[in-house]
Amino acid sequence: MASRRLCLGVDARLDSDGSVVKPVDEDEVRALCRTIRDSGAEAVAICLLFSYVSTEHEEQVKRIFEEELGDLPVSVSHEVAPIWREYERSSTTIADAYLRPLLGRYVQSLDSSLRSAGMTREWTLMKSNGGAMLSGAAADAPIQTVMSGPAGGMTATEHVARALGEPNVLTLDMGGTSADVGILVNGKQRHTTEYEIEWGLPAAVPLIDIKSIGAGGGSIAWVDAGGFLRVGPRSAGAEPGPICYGRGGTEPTVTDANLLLGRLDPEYFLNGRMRLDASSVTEAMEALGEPLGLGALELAASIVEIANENMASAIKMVSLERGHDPRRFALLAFGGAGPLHAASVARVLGIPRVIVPQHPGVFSALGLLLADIRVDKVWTQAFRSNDVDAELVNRQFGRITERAVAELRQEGYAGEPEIRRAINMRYFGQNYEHEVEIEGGELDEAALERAFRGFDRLHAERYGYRIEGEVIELVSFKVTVIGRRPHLDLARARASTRRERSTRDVYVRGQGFVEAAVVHRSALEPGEHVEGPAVIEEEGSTSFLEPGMTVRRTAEGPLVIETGMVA
Amino acid sequence: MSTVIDPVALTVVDNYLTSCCRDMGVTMMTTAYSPIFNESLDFSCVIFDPRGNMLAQAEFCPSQIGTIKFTVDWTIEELGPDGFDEGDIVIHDDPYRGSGHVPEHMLLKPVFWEGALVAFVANVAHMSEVGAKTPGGLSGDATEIYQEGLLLPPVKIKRRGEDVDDIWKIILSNHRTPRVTLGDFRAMIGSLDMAERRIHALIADYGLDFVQAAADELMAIAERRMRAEIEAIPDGTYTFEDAIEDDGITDRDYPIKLTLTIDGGEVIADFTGSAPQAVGPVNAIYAVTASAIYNAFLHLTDPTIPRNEGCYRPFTIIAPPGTIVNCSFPAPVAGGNTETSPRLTDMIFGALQHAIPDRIAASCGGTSSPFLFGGIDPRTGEPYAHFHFEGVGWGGRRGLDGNSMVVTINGNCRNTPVEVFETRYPAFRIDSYRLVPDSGGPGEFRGGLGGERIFTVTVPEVTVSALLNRMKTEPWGVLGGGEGAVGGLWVRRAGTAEWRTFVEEFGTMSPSKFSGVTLRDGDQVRILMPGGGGYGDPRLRDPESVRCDVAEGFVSADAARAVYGLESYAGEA
Amino acid sequence: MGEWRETEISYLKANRAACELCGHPIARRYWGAEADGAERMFCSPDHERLYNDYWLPRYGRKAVT
Repeated sequence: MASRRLCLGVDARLDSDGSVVKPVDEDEVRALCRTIRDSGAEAVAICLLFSYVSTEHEEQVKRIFEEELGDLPVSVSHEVAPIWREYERSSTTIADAYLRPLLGRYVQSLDSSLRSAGMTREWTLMKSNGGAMLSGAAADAPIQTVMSGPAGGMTATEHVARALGEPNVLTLDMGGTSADVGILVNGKQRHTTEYEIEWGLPAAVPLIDIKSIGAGGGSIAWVDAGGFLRVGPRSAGAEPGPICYGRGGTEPTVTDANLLLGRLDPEYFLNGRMRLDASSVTEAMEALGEPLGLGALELAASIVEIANENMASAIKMVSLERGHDPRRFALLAFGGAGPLHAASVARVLGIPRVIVPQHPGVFSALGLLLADIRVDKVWTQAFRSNDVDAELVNRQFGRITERAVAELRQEGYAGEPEIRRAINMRYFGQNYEHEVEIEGGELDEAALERAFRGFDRLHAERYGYRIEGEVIELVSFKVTVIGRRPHLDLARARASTRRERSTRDVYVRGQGFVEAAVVHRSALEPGEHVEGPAVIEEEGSTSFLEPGMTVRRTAEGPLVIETGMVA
Repeated sequence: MSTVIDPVALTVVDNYLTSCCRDMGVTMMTTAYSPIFNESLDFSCVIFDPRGNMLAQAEFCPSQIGTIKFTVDWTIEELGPDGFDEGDIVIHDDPYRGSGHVPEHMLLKPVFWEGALVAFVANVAHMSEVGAKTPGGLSGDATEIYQEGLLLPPVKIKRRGEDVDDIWKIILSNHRTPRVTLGDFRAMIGSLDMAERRIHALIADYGLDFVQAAADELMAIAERRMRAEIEAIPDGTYTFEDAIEDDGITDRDYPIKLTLTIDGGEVIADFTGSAPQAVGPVNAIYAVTASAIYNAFLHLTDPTIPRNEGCYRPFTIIAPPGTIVNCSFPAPVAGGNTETSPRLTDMIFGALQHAIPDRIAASCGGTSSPFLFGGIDPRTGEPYAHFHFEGVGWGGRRGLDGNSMVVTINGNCRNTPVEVFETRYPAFRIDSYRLVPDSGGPGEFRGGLGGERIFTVTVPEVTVSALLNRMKTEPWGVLGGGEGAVGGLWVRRAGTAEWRTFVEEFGTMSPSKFSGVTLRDGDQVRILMPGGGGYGDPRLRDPESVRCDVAEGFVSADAARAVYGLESYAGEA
Repeated sequence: MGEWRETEISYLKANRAACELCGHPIARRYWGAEADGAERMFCSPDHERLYNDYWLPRYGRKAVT
């Protein structure tokens, strides 16, 4: 993100306690400002060692930059991501600085378009933590908007899950190029500050735990050097798109496979606004299938199955790998292609129920309308469980709560905020911490003790063991302040007067072509059932049920597919 | 294909087992105590069938992944196929019984299904303290394996789910930092338990017969694909020589001689003619040598081949006993795994540079730069020990420059953040940590840069040891590429101005390998890490790349002119 | 013809037998075969084959260990 020549050192130093080893030399920093100005930089990121312990040096440097560099956007690591590990903190701060001018311009231009269209009220952006922030605040904290799309999907998921009384939900958002999967446990999203930290480039901001893989409708099927059939991550995108779009695509995709298998209606793609053309699909499938000894239909079925397996693996990553059994979850499907695959993915994973919400094609955008305003504040200070300065902790919790509430007020929220508090803990000696939610009110010894046992439980749940009697290290303290916004009542789907029902042959592995019911979603009455094999069509999406499955339209609006798997 | 197994289901089983290994790693990373686990990720997690065939691994430490195969084999041989019960966990840490070097401990758990042994799950990890002659193990002047730490033959630390307290007591009373050791072992055990549950879930889903058939088929596929890759290398006998410089005790080179035969789908890597084993700790154990060869060929071949036992079947590694590549008891072996191993891997590339120029790379910096230290934390009174290592430049390869400051080719470990390092270890403050310009070997594709780190001691005293290499012999280039810069190690005593070698200052026998030197408050240490070798004639390097190198500070303007001939391109700019 | 045989595992002697072709230390099981006029220990029948096909033509007879 930043080339080496644009990375400059400041000869000042704090130690691990935050004590000053070498103070900031103002003249040196002012000289740096000249270099920065001459370089033509559009934004600056400041990241000094141990700024998560003491902000003193970064604040001094920032002040000088502001004096010397005028309006040049500045991102400071202790404000952007006050966490340890300088590499993660730096890369996050650099990303923030990188986005700052872009997002600033974007917010400004969208704001003026909205105003010129007569929309003068405040508007919000989705944050990666699932909350919303006012547009002005977003421009000041750009890194917080990373992954805001999936965050919208998860927020809408919470809403639907609440309405249906489903506390444990896995999500599958499958579009044209990729599939995102997420998880809701006990009605709550999982957040992580370790995005891809396992084996990738880290960005240390609170993010919804989402796994993205290259499995979408446009994902291309290919045969690797070893003769294995693979699907994605390369995608045909929208241009040229799948072969059946007839825009010059030549490589078979997941959408082509679905069309060949009868799961998509060539006449009713995007509510009939686009016609799919199967004529050259068969030929391409045959060519690809030949070295594998598979005919066009078997190949198409295999392509869909592999895409399904890939999505199932991603679901395992957010569930099994976090210690959650996917069979105890419902699977919520959205995105244009999600409902087409979800029932089969659920079968692979042993998931008993699939939910298809209303408007699955625009479900993530819906999330933004439902999101509450949310501010997170963190105070970092290490304690050991046998030596906690409870008075200081209470005072600091009070201080960051006040700051968070003040920010909420600045964002225009006038109601009574909901306040959640958590402590990040680990066994003394471990280097990775886990967020343990704690009770409200003054923290006394008994309350702390309950928090420690909460950590033990969480560790045992996640890793299969706890360490009795081990000293626990408290690493940081977090407050989340939520301003609840009035919830939209999603218009309940009204039974249509249109009665569109027909049948179509769909291909099922092992059974060949079987006759499936084809029903328009709007034609379903609340409580009405359809037996699989069946195809439920609607604007922007199609749901597919395998033989033996049943779908029911709920009174609340979403469809619920029973996959026949028993939890 | 002999059996007919649905290729889709095969892919699923392969991915499931691999992701299971990854999860074991995540559990280890997030729950272990020592930074060598939770920051450096110096561990590997692997699944075996009951006969000791490796079924799956993930992106872990290559030298461990190759070695663990031998450790598991030995364990099964020694305990016998009926020697395991459900709930057992076996510990193994004895290089002369198949492990890599003493710091690396393997834990192995048998997995049962309906009373029958169906798999083994195992992990191997580098413990930061092992009760060697000096804190952190890897004593650079050890002359016997007994000085390198507590040896543990395959014995059970859990029997049918219950801790075998006597064994635990022996281990914890022999390590200087028992608290950390215990925390790390718990993480390893947690990861094995998790893997056991995952394998049970797989069998419950797919049935035992299917999983076993799929496992066999995956190994057959891997073997077939690996042989096909080898067949694509021109048949012939290729040779290469390199050397390990000084062993910490005697200042002499230990030449290593490789005769590599490619014959159809078969490979014979023959080290006959290599130097006799060293007195000091630079000897490779057989498993380490074999592992280094596997590592090289996994670099040269299709990365989508399933990483299981089948990959290894085409290889025969001949390493005469009593040599530096297969030392005999009780020679010390610590550096065999950290220093000699990358040398052996690179030698395969060197040997094949003309045969498959598009696939090989020049030599990497070739040292893990082990720098060990330990003492008593003045803040808490508790003992600490650390195995600190550094990155090196990697060799240039066709189309790409070498990586800069990445842990040597056998390691795949991460470096420890300064903030974690200083918080965990009170002994040092890090004054600087940077890339060294011109340290990458010149070439059409440049070697990666080495680096420099300077520490200052911040406690009254700390004990340090070292086991470095490539301080005298440069990492070689290939096909006309130049050599990478050598590394170095110096000390500057508090209140003095001059950087001196440890030989000059402390009278150690070697400047790169020693143990138990006491440093005091204000003393400074400077480690220089070697760069990687260059690939191809530097005069053929794209002038735009050279200009960019100069602008970024990777190459000096002088070198751009003198080595790359940039002047002649000045008019085109 | 060779056959699979077993050595005793001993904690009293530290030096171990090794495969006569590759040098790999033998834990318990090994392939015992007559090669080049002597009883020899190998990792596997494959290494017996390579002893005859690769080692002998190249380096000649190996002293029995």
